[in-house]
Amino acid sequence: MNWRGLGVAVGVGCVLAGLAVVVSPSLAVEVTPSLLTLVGVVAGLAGAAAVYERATTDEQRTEPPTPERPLSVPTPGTELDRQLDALGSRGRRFGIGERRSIRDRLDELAVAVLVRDGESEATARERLAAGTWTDDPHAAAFFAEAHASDVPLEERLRAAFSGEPSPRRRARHAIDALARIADREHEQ
Amino acid sequence: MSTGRTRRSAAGREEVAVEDETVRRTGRWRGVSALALVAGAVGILAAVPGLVLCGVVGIAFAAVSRSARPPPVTLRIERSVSESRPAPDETVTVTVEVENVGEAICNDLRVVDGVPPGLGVAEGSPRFATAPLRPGETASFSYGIAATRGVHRFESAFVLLRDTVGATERVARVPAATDTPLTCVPPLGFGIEGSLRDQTIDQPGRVLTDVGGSGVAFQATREYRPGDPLSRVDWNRLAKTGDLSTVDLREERAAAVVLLVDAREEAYRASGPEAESAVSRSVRAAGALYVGLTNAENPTGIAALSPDPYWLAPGSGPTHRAQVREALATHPAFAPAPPDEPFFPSIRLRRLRRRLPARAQVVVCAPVCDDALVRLLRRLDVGGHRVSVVSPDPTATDTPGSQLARTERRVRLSKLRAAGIPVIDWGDEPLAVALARAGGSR
Repeated sequence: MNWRGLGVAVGVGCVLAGLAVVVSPSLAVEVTPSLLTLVGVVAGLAGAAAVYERATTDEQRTEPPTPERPLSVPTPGTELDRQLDALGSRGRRFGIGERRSIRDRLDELAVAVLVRDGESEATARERLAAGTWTDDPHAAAFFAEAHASDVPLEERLRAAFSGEPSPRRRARHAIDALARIADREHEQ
Repeated sequence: MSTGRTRRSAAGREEVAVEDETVRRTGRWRGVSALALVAGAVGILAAVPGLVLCGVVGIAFAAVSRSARPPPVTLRIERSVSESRPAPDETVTVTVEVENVGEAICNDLRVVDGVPPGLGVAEGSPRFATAPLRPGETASFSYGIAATRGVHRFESAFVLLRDTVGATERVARVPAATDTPLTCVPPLGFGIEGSLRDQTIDQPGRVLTDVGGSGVAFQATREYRPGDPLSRVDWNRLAKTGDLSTVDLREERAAAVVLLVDAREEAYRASGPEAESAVSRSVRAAGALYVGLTNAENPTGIAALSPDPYWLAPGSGPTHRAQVREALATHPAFAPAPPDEPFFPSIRLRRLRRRLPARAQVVVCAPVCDDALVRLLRRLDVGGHRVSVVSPDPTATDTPGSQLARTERRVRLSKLRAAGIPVIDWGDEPLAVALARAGGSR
């Protein structure tokens, strides 16, 4: 605020001095080339600062509200989609919390689905650990890391080029496989 | 900044309420001072007087934008609706009049009306821009909204005012001078009969029980006891063997039913951004089931499982029916928007149990998208009130997450069925179809 006040004072002073010179030209100080250069350099620096400021800030616009659509309610599972997107997208270090939460949720669901399919809870856990509950090697690898090598080489190469992080792909395949089991039972 | 305040307009004619007012610079003219300074500097250093003059003109523009102030919000907003109690899906025309009651000219004015959050715009646009609006002048615009169930209140209109050169703007919320709520009360719908569980009250009705007595469905024959009505004596058997026996028929009694609508935050789910929420579907189901149940002479009540409790004891008759219709449409517990307050299952369950009449059964309309509800329903069932569930399905299949939620819901429904609670999974088909399909398999 003080700098602003000082700036205003200097500006007002300059304007008054200029008016005084217009009234009586004898008051004018002689403009030496060096003074002129100094003024030019100061103006140039101020201009460069203003250009920099303009280039680095966008025009701020107030976004008016959009009331046209009725308020929509969430679809079940959206927060899991967010967690899946966070998996592996920002490097290994960041996805740990998401991975654990997805793993817990899928573990519980997988056991429940297999139990619903007629297994005992212990057998369900064994089959998950052994990877024998599904034909999909990616899905099996989600619950049993050791089975990652069961994926055929061609499939693994294709997966490597797809750009999708492998935890996310495995989770996606596991979800699909579980949905198929649940649907199968439903149709009977 | 959410403090509403009232400004006495300069004319002193009336007070204008303004909320959430902020003033900010748009930064639109920031480039001008940069250009002016650079032009001036180059002009001085290269000794080109013309450039210096250009710079001075630019500085003048910058000075104007620096000193600009947006006009005060002295707008009076008057809103009127073509119909305050519309039928469902009826298009209501909303007319908004904006009057400048101040003394300053509004050079650049934009208004976005506060359409109620639960309603969608069907015709025209709730946005309006005008320039200029002189003191005392009134501008108006109108648009159409499609009515849906519930009490809908308009929100404050969004107002944006800019100064002449657009360097600064003032943003505020202006409530309308008069409140014009829309109330839409849909009919309860045609009665749909769902099959009930065999928990009944001592009142004749249409629910088949295992109690032997008079009725139409055969149960057993037993030895004749003095006092048995002659109409139920097995005359064929007497003629054939000479033994006197009595036919017992299954008695038909009425059931006291409470329709419990799950309206917790967790139940506000839909299969897509445009889809009807599970709570709205549950409310529709409750209305149709209420009509069906009371037509079949079962006293029926309504309750909401929500932070804002609603309870209407089982009953029937035109007054009761009118109460149910009004409550399902307008009570805040069944509102189209989710509640903000937390829900405490144990407390709510205890209160519900205290209110439930003895031997009343509970038909729950719930999407079953969380495990807490499954536990609550099992406790209710074990506690002596037979529970059945009508479950609108709000899940989708388009993403891995929604696929997972769908499978989880399937598992939950299986758990309920395993606990002996009948569940009707209501997908996209009409409710009557879902009920008929489930009626066969149960």
